[in-house]
Amino acid sequence: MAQLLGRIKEFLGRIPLLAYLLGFLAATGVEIVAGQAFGLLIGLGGVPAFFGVTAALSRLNMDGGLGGLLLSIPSMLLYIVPALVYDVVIYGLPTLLVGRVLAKPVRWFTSTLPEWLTGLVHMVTLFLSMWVWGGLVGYRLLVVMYIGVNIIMASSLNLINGYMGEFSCGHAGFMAVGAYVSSLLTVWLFTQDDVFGAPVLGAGWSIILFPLILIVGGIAAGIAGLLVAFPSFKTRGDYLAIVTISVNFIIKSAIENIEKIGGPRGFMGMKGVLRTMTSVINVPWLLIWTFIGVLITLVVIHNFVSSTKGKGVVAIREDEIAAELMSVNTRHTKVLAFTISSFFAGVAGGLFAHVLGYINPSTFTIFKSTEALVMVYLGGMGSLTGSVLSAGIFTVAMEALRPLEVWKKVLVWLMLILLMMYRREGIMGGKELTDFISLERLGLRRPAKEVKGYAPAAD
Amino acid sequence: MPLLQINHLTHFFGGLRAVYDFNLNLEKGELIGLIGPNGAGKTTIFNLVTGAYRPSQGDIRLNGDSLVGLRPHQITAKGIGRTFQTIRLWNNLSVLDNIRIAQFAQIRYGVVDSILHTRRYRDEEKEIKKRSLELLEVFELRHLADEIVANLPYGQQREVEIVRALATKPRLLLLDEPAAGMNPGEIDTLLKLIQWIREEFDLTIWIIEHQMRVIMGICERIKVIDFGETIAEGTPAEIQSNPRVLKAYLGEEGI
Repeated sequence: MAQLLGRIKEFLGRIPLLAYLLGFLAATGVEIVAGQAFGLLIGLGGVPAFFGVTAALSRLNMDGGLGGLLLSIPSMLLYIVPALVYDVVIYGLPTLLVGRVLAKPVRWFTSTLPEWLTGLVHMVTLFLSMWVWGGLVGYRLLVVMYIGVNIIMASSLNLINGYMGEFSCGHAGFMAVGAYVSSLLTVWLFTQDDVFGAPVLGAGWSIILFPLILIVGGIAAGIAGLLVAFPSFKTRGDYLAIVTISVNFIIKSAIENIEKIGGPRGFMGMKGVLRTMTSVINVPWLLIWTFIGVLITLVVIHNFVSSTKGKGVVAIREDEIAAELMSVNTRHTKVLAFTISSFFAGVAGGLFAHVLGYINPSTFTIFKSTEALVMVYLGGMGSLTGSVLSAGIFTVAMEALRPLEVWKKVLVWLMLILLMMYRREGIMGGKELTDFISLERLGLRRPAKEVKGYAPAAD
Repeated sequence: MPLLQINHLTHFFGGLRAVYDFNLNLEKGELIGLIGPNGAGKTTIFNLVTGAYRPSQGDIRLNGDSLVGLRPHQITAKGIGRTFQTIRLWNNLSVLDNIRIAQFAQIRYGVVDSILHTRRYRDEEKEIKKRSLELLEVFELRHLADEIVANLPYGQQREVEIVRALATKPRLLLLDEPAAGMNPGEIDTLLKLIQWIREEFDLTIWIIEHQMRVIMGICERIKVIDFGETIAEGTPAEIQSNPRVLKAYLGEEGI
């Protein structure tokens, strides 16, 4: 048994990441061609939206008391079996098969490219597979974009809670600032709106200005971040946590009291912005910008915290007084960390608002902040790959468990309690994924050149 | 002009007078000691000099420039490095990172440079890393560069802390009870090390020590304080026979 597992592990380990991605892309192709027919054939009634998890859970009878629930379990199991078959046949086999076949060519291909280009190829492949996979069932695309937004939220909060060791629980406040600022701008500039009237700029501008407006939203949020940064000079720990909660409430209440932008009723019209954008060029703009947003967030935070300047943030976590006495300008560093963190929360807010098409102040309460916190602690403090993983897992769990209705929340929070009891350091435990699987193994970096007495090909 | 000049330094914690009318002229290249019983205010003086506390009264000047009101990182950048009575390394970071971060004040690149990995960033980071490794090399700690500090034995942590203080490029080094928790053998090594870094890095050194044998061994001049007040000053030999010092350490005769 152990031998078999070892074999499987070795087999899977030999396939580089890009080959897996291409395999998944092929699998989505298979699904487009044969998914519907195969789903009908094995009794799933078509393409399952979410690997069959949601559909299986929705077989559970949540309204009939305990008896009804227990009686509905067989019908769930009856669904799970064909769903598993579907997942294996449609996703599993093609991914592994194509991955295995392409393993060698992919290794050769990536070895001819410079590393940054290899990274780009991975990203484009991942993007394409998400696009194709999501394009088949609209709901999937929505979930993918939620994952993206949540990755940005979790990793930006990780900068404060994980790397700097402060406990910020008002991240949704900054998200709200970004969401409102960018939504107001796009709706004002590009759509016919009750409040703002006719669009100010031509539709073509929307394509160019959309990312800039996201950045403007981020900058506004970054400035709001100073509301926490300055108090952080004087207070820390629990007291700063209270400050962050207050800032969250202040922002929410402020928005609630501005009638012009809808007050507590909220603000809408962002779907119109998207229509304007797709009317010019019909591509999934939001998916593209979410993807790029996630990439930029991860690169910026990673590069920042691995520079000596950025490591000042970690020194503050480890011993703030020693940091200040050992020449780290702690105030400057805190302002930087809070600004960067809330900037990205603002960008996430802008994306979120346009994905949802509608925002209202009560979306951005401390509950939303708590979700971001959960993702940070689930993934592990001070681990970016942990935040990426946990944002994926958390978002998917929240969506897939929807049929469980109220019990969903119980289950998810129960998971969190268990996590805190048995693995407080989170999934990654302060390490990065690359500490376990090397970049060389994944095929993202070329293996170190072997020295064999002759010089490798000249550059 | 003396390197460090302290005039009428007085500090209160609420109603408690921790330091009273402390004066010192420290010439470049000197190695002096500050001793006194527990709670005499020795560490408080270091905290005042390094800016961790702002003095209630008095003046502290480094090369003629007043340090009062400056933030600790600015004072460190001006050339005062220190270690702590209880080790205060950044425990969950590697030895190398501990040394790197202590060069924070020498960073000239901006955040944008660090995010975009500009040439300027790469050059400076390379320089910082090189210097850190050189420093570790000098102390024969280079093989531990990637080790997490918390995993090192106590004696090596003490050494790393000294290296970290040196990484800030000090002209004046303040050592707060460097021999705390060391056995006689380790103390001898430490004394040699202190004298050696003084020559090697062209430093002025000011040591707080609790144990007489440390301070008598290497200091050229000693100041003794008790209850925040200076009670004696002089060479080790003079101090050893000073009745006020003996009284402060051993209590009144006839008890």
